[in-house]
Amino acid sequence: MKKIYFFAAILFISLIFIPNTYAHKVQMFAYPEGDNVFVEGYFADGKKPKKSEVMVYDSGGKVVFRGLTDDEGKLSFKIPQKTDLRVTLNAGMGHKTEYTLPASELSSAESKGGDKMVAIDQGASSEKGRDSQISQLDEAQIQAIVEKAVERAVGEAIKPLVRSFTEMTQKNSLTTIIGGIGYIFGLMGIALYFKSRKGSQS
Amino acid sequence: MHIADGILSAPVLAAGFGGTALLAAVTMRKMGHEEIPEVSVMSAVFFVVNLIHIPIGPTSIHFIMNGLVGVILGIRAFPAIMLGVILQALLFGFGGVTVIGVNCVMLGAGALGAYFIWQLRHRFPLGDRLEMIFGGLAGATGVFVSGLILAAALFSTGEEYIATAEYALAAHIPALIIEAIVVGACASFLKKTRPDLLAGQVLQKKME
Repeated sequence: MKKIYFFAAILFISLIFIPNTYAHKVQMFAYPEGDNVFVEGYFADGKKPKKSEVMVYDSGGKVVFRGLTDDEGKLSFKIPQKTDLRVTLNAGMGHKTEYTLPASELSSAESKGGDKMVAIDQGASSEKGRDSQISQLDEAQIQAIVEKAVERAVGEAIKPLVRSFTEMTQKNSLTTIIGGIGYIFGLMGIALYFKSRKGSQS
Repeated sequence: MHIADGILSAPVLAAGFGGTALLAAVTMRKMGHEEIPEVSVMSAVFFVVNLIHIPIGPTSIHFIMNGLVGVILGIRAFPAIMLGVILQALLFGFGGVTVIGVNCVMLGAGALGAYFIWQLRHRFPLGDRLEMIFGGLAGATGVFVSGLILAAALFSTGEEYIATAEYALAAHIPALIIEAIVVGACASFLKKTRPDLLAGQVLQKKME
């Protein structure tokens, strides 16, 4: 049994370091910003995936955009088409992550982010069913401009929130680590239990 | 040093699971009562140590420690690492569920390679520093073998990864050096204090 104490000591020493733990894992945000999609990658320890390949696929799995992140790990590109976009970021060495932007988010952003003519077209074909009559042009224009401004302001304001939320949900928590150790010892208990039953039967 | 989901092709993933099953079956044969707690504790150590980041200059690395697991557990290192990798994938998304097989083979084979190198110490009696030297070599081997398998796995996915695979080997050199120092120090410390903990000591007695 003395062996066990020694191992337990190693484990305890490892536990002291836990507050500094992170998964060495690449993460990504992607969100529509006007008629662009903005992508930002980062590692959980704060490093940025520089010059990493970003691939964008449409709903059918076809590549619709391909690019490299800058030195800050950021990239923005024009929305290639209004389907669900699957964005993948490959930081190399087996580090890869993906995120799907639903078409609904894109279409609303695009209709507000385009130039005035696009905005009017979108407004005309929107679910409100408004006809694209010349007399309603002004109203549609104003609406588009206001919505665009609000969208941008709100988007700017919640950006840090989105970021810290994503970081929070993806960070290793002490609870999960201890849970994992618990699993290991639980499995050990089960294995020993069955071993000992076998031993007593024979 | 974990491969994420969505990079490797289906045959490679299947080969990973097959290899894991095979290695697990071979390495878990005739495991004794007293070995189960050892394997579990080293599995827990491996599980935790992988999550610790050590800042070095502008970047940071994390320990892999499959070499240490190999030096302490011998061939039983494989089940320990397998359990650790599965839990890392399930609880932290470290690697990914489909890649569990490949990651187990990659890290587990590193541990087995480390054990092989560690056993070579019986052939080169270098005196006092024997454990330190071979512990260090074993630590480096653990990282190196895993790096080779990582590179091979990335190679298999096609040409665009060739540069990455070469880079993968180069990028693990700092980890390799640090692991060598740590495992060497651990091995020499254990030799002085609790030599029975190290793998392959019985064999040494027989040979004497």
